Amino acid sequence: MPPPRPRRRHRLAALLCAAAGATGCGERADSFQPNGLLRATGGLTDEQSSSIDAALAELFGSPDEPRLPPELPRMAELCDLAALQQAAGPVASHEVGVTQGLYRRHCARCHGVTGDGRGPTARYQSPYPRDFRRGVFKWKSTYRDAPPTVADLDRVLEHGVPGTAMPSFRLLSEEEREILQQYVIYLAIRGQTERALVSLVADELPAGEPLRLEGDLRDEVMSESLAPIVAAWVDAESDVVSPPDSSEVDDRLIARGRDLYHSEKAGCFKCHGAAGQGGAVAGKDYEIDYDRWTRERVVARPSDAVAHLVRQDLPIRPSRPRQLIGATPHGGDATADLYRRVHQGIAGTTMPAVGGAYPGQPGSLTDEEVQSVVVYLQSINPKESPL
Amino acid sequence: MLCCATYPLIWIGGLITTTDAGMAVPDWPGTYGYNLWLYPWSTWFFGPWDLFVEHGHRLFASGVGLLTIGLVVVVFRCDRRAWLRWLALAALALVIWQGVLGGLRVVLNERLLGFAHGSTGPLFFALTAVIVALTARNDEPRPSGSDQAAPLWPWLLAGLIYLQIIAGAALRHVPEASSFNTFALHVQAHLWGALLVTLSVVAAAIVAWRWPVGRSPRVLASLMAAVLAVQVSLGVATWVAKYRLPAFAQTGVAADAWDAIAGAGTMAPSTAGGWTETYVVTGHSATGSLLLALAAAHAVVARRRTSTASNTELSSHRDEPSAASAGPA
Repeated sequence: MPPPRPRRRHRLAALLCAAAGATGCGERADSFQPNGLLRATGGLTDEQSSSIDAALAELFGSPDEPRLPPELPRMAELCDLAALQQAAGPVASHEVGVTQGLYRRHCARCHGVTGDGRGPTARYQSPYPRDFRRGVFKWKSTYRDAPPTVADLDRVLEHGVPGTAMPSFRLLSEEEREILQQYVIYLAIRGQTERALVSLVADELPAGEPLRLEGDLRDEVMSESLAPIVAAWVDAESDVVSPPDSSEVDDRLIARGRDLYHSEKAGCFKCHGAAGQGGAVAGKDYEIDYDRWTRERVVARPSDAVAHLVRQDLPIRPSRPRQLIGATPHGGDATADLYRRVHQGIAGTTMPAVGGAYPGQPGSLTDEEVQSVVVYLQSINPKESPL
Repeated sequence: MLCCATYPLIWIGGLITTTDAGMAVPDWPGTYGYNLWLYPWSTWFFGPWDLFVEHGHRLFASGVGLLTIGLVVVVFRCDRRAWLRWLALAALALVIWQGVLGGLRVVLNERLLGFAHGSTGPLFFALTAVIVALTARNDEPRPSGSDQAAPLWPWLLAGLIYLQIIAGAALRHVPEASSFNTFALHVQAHLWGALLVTLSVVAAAIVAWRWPVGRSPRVLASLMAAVLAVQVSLGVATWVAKYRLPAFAQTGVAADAWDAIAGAGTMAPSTAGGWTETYVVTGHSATGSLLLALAAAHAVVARRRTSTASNTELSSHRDEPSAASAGPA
């Protein structure tokens, strides 16, 4: 048989490449994906971007070999290196009943190997899977700007998020869920560190100068940028919003909550509708806005690089105020959940807080008023909690 | 018997992919250093689920391999039909290749080899169905006007279903590091494939009921249509079980329909590895293989019903007609 002619060989090669690409061959999980949009928005050069990748690799390792920065000893209070190593890497088992690569097995398909919320299945999910890299989580018990507690992460892992693709992992052992929590925290802190380093390079270093994380600069970055990020995670337990002891529910309290719901002071009706029917994009009966993860992609006059990355990214979806009646509340409908959601809003979204931003700070509603709104919401949607 | 034994194996294989248990045993062909058959049964039976299903798959697969060897031996000893011998040898070659693919998927820990393994299983199952259809007793009178050439379209239909199975296997084996665009490509290919297969199977059923094709093709075409209905339902259920409702279905008619069927606010989270998710998804995968086997058998039967030459050939070299009809396949 004569050898194929060059043109045929090219066609064959193109066909093989297309087939390999279509099956996902060549898309490897051995490195974290850089936050390209963040870097393009900051106007970073390729050299600067590479220097940030090198610094992150030195501090946090890779998806196959995670590492903890030695200058951040408090990270050990959050993440055990052995646990991270069991969560990382490809799925494998070298001992009966011990699974390596737990994160890739259970989480990466939606949340991505990097934890950027851009796993293979992300595009078809609504809402999109959480992007951990901001360290911002919606379903938590803490004040709006504080990270979630370990218990919050465990709760989401154990019970899932109703009405979304996030399943319950209650069939995993507690130990495996704990390992996954730690890996999620690790990815979040890594993502927050990336954001801090990009900000440093874009705003503080001379134009075009790559990052050299050494000497005084390293000490400064560690103590002023990264240590506070870690401290916020470690101290999250002290930032928990405590609902008041449940008072007796009576018609007076419900009526007060109803009045507040429809008042300018709380303003709930503006987004969720007078009857709690929620907002609709087509109807435009509320102001179209975007959550924090999406807002940075809605740029008025993007550069070519930014516009290209936005086009390549997940389709932009505006925030849609939730339907309060007959819908499954994503964050659970237990009284404490509703109280915290009304009190602090939902972190990262357009749902605002009406309580104070930290313990003791007054908000636009008092704690009793928040409670009355919660009671009113429960009265119009009496349902067993799925959690 | 081989065909009947292969179908549970397809289920178990699908179960492994669904629960991502393929790497529960790190070595091959042994299990944790033991000979496959000598692995302590108590550890297997009472150990972790992943190990139970993966080691069970290996044991079951080796049983199917032995049955295939038995098929070859029986065919070569009792039957002189050359095509049947070739088919038996092809089945043996395919089952060995399938075993090697499964082993390499474990040894190399390569998900794309899992995709190849998952695509070859249904092919082997279809081949056993073809052997069953070819060796089955054929006492039906041929319908009038059936002396025309054997139609090609039933084979095209089987090929189309197999392509759809490949698209589904690719969807299930997308690597974790793939982009969402790669996954979207697979989803769209699978959805368009589902539409084409649905139209084709419905057309096959219409042909079977409107034209005098004979009882067996009619029964098989009807079975295909019924299995297709189950398969499409399982496909929708698979999507909802894994990813819940897509954005477009969360408002409007689809959301109202869901509320009417399941009740408002009832979209509780699924349980990863739970019964519903595991068996609905695995059922969708296994039912696709069943549809392929039916389509392959239908193509064989349609050929037998219309081709005089092949019927003559089928019966001319048999040692004992009854032995073939109760043959090892």
